[in-house]
Amino acid sequence: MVSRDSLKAYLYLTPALSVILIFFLGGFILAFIQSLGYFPAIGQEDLTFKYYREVLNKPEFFKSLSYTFYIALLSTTIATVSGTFLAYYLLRTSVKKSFIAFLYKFPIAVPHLVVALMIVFILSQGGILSRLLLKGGLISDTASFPAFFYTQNALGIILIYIWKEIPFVTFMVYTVMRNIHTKLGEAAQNLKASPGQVFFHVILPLSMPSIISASALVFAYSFGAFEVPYLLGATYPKTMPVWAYLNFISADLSARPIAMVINMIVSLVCAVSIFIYYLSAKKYLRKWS
Amino acid sequence: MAKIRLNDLTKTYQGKPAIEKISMEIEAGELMALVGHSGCGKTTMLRLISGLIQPDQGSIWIDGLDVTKTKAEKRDVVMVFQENLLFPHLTVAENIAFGMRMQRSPRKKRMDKTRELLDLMQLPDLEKRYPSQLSGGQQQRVALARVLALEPKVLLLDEPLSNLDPKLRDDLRDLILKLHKDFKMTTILVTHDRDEAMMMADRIAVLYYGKLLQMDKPINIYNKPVSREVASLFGQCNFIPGLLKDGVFQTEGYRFRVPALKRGGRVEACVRSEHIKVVRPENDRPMGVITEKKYVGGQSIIKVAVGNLIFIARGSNYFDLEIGNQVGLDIDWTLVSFNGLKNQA
Repeated sequence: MVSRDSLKAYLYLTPALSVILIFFLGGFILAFIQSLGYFPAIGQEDLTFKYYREVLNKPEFFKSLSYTFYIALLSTTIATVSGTFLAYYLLRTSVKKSFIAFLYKFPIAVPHLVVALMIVFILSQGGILSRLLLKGGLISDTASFPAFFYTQNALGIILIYIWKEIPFVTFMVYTVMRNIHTKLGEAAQNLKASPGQVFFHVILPLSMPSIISASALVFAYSFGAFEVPYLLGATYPKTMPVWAYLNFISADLSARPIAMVINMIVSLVCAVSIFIYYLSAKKYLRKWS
Repeated sequence: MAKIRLNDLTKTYQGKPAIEKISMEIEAGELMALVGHSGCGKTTMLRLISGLIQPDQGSIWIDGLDVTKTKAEKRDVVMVFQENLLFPHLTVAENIAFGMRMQRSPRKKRMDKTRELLDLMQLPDLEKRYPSQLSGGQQQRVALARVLALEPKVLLLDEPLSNLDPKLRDDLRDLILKLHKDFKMTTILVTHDRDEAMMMADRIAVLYYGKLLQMDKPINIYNKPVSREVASLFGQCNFIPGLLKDGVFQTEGYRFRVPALKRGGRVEACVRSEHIKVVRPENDRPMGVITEKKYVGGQSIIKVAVGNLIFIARGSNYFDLEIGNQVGLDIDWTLVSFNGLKNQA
């Protein structure tokens, strides 16, 4: 029987849960049904895996999947490693922390599109940096400035992601690290551990659950994000979300189930990444808590 | 064993001094207790000696070497923290071997030492457990084993027994004393428990708002406190103002013959409650009326009003005393100290 307290808790959560159930779960179920070919608007009412087979057999599928993985993995790795070290640096620095805290939290509040514009202004071949180098005689023309955007290396996209993600990881990890560092860090130092040993033997392992958690969120975002790769990504291959969007807005309504199949695959990858996070965090926490 | 010397040690936090110009010497192999109220600077002293924080002024010397600027990991000093601070992600054995691992001791040596310490600390078959799977007493034993594994010259104990129940406290207290002797370490114990300090320490240093008030053997701290603050820290005390002259202490119409003192003048006598006996009223003794009686196990704490003064005494429960009874007070003046003037008897 549900206790009075549980009932109260569910009651308080109802507004938030309703939004999640109707807009997220409802939308997800509809998308899943459409991915199975159920689309009465064009007279398709049978459920089939035909569109899944079609997507998986397309040559651009693996290219798009690996391109999306490449962007998500590289930006997540850079953000996780840099964010973790930045959090540790912040703990140990004697520089005024309120100023640094403002500096690293600021990017979290800036929307991706604004960041994208900012970085395009600076790093595109017609951008400020390229013009400065041209004026300084370091490059002969703007075309010889390395291409960051609309290319397969996706460096511009990765740069935009990490500009926002490093502060996010730092923000998530810093608080946890601070709690560990003040007490257990001192205990380790007292037991003759050097600052490096304190970090690798105490701070890092104990921060792992929060690092994995931040990393999983960042990966899921980078993998599923649409707007930046849509604006600044290569013509070919497209990232999975862009590919899904192009199919979704196609005038040919029969492409709609294809878009939903791609969405399902993106969702599955994100769900698996969150599941891996859950397992790893559980493994860490089970050991000592 | 190492001799420790502190010279004019000062540490401030946000402009307020946590400790102020403290100088002391702790002999090699000595067990010194730092005693004082909460926030008097006891833990700050330990953290300074361990190197976890730096002093604003003054210097710290260990065995003749100035270690003021030496980092914590380079000092031959280890500390056991109040909350034990075991690493939750490491097993008992890994916790004990942690310091040796950081110093890159060979694996075999680490394992042998860990086993030896597990036996010594009476922690058999617990090496594979995590700290969360241990009781409070076991955790504190592991915390002790962990620092002993480094065979330090100086051991700092920051209220290591405060989180334990009375039985475990007694056991661990004996163990610490045994380890202090067996390992021949200079030990500094921070405690706010006066009995613990009395029982364990060779000498006691009393801190009060960051200042060192008195440093002496436990018996002298108890019987010859240099100030009202020190006296109060170590038990119930009656403070009686009066005039001391030619071996006579005069107060509130009473004159008491006291052991001869070198100096006299206006003083405050510090009379411990257990040095006052509640007896039948007799003319040559202060007489008063019992105003309060509290039962505390083997004896009672009795308040007696004598004129304007209130005396707190301890009396046997077998003696029939009730509130309102007229009684006499028998004070053992040989054990009374006079406001900073030490009793020379």
